[in-house]
Amino acid sequence: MAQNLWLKEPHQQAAKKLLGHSYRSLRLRYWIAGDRTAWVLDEIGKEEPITIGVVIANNKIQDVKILSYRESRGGEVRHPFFTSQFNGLFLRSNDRLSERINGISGATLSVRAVSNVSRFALFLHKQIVSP
Amino acid sequence: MALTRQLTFSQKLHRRVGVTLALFLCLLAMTGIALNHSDEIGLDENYVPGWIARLYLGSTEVLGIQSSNHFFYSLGGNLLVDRTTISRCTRLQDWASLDDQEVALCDGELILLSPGFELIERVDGALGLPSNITEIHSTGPEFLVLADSQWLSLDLVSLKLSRVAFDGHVSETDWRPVPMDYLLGESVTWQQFILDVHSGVVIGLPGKLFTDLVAILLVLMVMSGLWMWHKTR
Repeated sequence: MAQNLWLKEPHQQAAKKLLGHSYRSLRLRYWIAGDRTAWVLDEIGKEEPITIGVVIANNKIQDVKILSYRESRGGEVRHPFFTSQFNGLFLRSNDRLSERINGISGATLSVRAVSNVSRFALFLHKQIVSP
Repeated sequence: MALTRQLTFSQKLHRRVGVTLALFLCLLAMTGIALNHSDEIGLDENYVPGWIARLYLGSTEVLGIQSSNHFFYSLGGNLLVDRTTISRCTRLQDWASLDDQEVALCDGELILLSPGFELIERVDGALGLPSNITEIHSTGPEFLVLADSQWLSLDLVSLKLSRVAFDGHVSETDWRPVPMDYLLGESVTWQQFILDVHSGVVIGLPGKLFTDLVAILLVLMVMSGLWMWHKTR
């Protein structure tokens, strides 16, 4: 069953650092089983929000999926050749992903959105599993 | 002699067309530069004054839902409450007021708002919501959605759906024209306005055709300039 996370000041501070702005809603949905969590997050690519699903286990990304892509360009981020790059990555102490994500020409903002959401999901996971 | 006449005529034409185009070229260049730096100068986050927005809206009637002294409506791809933009929404379909939150049905998604109209969350197919919801309704304790002609009860916390035998009367949503004062607040961004000036769309089809004409004349200017340069070498 989906759990609710009401975003409080520390979450929004982290969002500002990781996404570059506060998260646009007050509540988030996630699923949890043991030390595994799944998050559904929205982030603006260029103009439209991209709905991104992130599964995290043991503080590492297990899977990233683009659940809804609404922009007219940059949809290449939906493909596994891009999303599979996130598998196994974790958040370093400097808030960067443990490895560099290869960009896609013409989809810079969408790539940035997926990367930022992955970082935010890793932060949220840590808050839930080992606060 | 014939060549001299041709050149004189071309130079005159080139000069006159050039002078005529200069103003529009400046306009195109300035709006182009502004659009190129749209993000940095926040063109998409700021709204044009009411008198410009009025040009867009003209006599357009925007319908909204009035509830508890507030107007809820969609305009320019956004959901607005009175004069404030809340979230994206192309088409507002329905609205329901619950005890502790407000719910909008927009583009088949539910937008949950706090009593102060802060965005709580958007609930869509990615969270398991049926994609074909056409109406929403609050019976007090229960929140209902109509999907495929079947009323379903939706728990807005757990998002659990269950069938209900609801045969109560649901009154037609009361759509009313939104007062013009509300519409002029946050309806047109500077980005949209400058883009429309850049493309000529701001004055409709004539503006668009005029921009096409300016573009064609520019190409002709380049060609006539090259031709004169070639002939005078």
